[in-house]
Amino acid sequence: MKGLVWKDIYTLLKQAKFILLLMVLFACLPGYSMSAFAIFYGAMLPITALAYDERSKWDELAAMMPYSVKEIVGSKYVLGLLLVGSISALSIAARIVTGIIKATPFDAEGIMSTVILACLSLVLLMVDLPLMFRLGVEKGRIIYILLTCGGVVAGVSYSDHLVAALDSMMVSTMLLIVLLVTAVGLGISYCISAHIYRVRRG
Amino acid sequence: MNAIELKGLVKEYPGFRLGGLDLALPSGSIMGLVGENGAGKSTTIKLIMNAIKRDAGSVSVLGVDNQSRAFSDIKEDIGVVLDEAYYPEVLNAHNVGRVMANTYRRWEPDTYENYLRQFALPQDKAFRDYSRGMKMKLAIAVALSHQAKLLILDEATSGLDPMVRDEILDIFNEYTRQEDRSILLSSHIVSDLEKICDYIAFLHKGQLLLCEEKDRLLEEYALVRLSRERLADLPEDSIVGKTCSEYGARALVLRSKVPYDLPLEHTNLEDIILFLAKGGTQE
Repeated sequence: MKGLVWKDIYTLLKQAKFILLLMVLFACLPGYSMSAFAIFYGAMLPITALAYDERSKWDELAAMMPYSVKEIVGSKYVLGLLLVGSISALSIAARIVTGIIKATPFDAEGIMSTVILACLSLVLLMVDLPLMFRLGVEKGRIIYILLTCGGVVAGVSYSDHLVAALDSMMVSTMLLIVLLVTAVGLGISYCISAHIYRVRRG
Repeated sequence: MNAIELKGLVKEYPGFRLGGLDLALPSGSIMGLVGENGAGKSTTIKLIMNAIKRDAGSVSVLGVDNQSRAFSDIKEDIGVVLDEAYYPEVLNAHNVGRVMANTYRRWEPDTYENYLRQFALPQDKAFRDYSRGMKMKLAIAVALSHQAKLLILDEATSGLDPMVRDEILDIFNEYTRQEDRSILLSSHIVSDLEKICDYIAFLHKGQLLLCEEKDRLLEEYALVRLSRERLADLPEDSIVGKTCSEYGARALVLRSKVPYDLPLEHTNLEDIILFLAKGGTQE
């Protein structure tokens, strides 16, 4: 699988160098909005890598190489985790360094918020990847946008209930639940993607 | 041992049926898989590599069933070159080398670099800026750099100029000097196959019309040019195919079945393939 991840990293470094630089810059800026943008964009980049695979028909060659379906599909999840993890770690590190320079108290809540943001971005990845494997990047993106819009509308409609539920929870409990849900969700999403890939291969 | 062994292999698509194929590539030899476009050559290769599921039959590669768990290890010993190189277009030869070093356990970076030098492939030029010949050479360099015991080449020489094709065929010849190395080479350029192959398998509309030693084929068949009347006198089972015109007839015959005094011409693989594919009488 290492070879597959390296292939995607090289592709992204060459094709999305500017975006990657922006992501690093945004992750280091104070405040949540910019780092949230960088983290969420990190979760989207595996789709960009998948689009380049489709364009070069890489899958036809990969089927001839010593890669299993699990590795081919899993490499996109690993790439997403690597990107989201790295950008989140950078954002947390920047927050800590800024705190030290400004001599402000340790911002534990801020760090937890970054972790929760990272988990939320991975929810995008877990919805996105099975769709892309099933429909291809072009069609998958359209369905994905429609689903995201639906999600936003539902989120806004039920936001009062959600805020009430979150308020009643301790931050650490909430963090634990979010981490657990993300891990289980990624596992399920990966199994669905692997199944779709196997069926599509014929 | 056979490097590849197919028994009753079948794959069906709407409007197309491949097989049942029975074919064996003895270890240490080169087999040419020839056939027109759409004959089923690429499908056969995909089935051999288990890239698509077969409907019936069995496939054994380097002694291992290709649907067994052990086959993923066997893929380490197989170098595959497809009709296109299919690497992400933004990568360069150096990047491809790094990716392959993390893909094949027995990757040899020095061998790879030697091939890049031998093929005059620039290491830093993006793959998309390579010519078709350069792309195929890169794919061949990769296939030859991980101690593969079997090379599977799907139309690897098509679309290349004769100089490059000749250079690549020499490399394949060199590769099989070691006894345990074998090549399955699919192509519709029959002259390429005639140059280097020990065995010829001919696929036509999904059916394997022949699979024999090349030299035996050339000994077995001959061409005759004669009048229509003289042709009609030949035993029917001696004629594989014939073309008739107002000036006379030309036929591919089995040497063993025609009268000994009949003047025979040496044939070549292309004629044998064409007569077998067309069959019967062509006016």
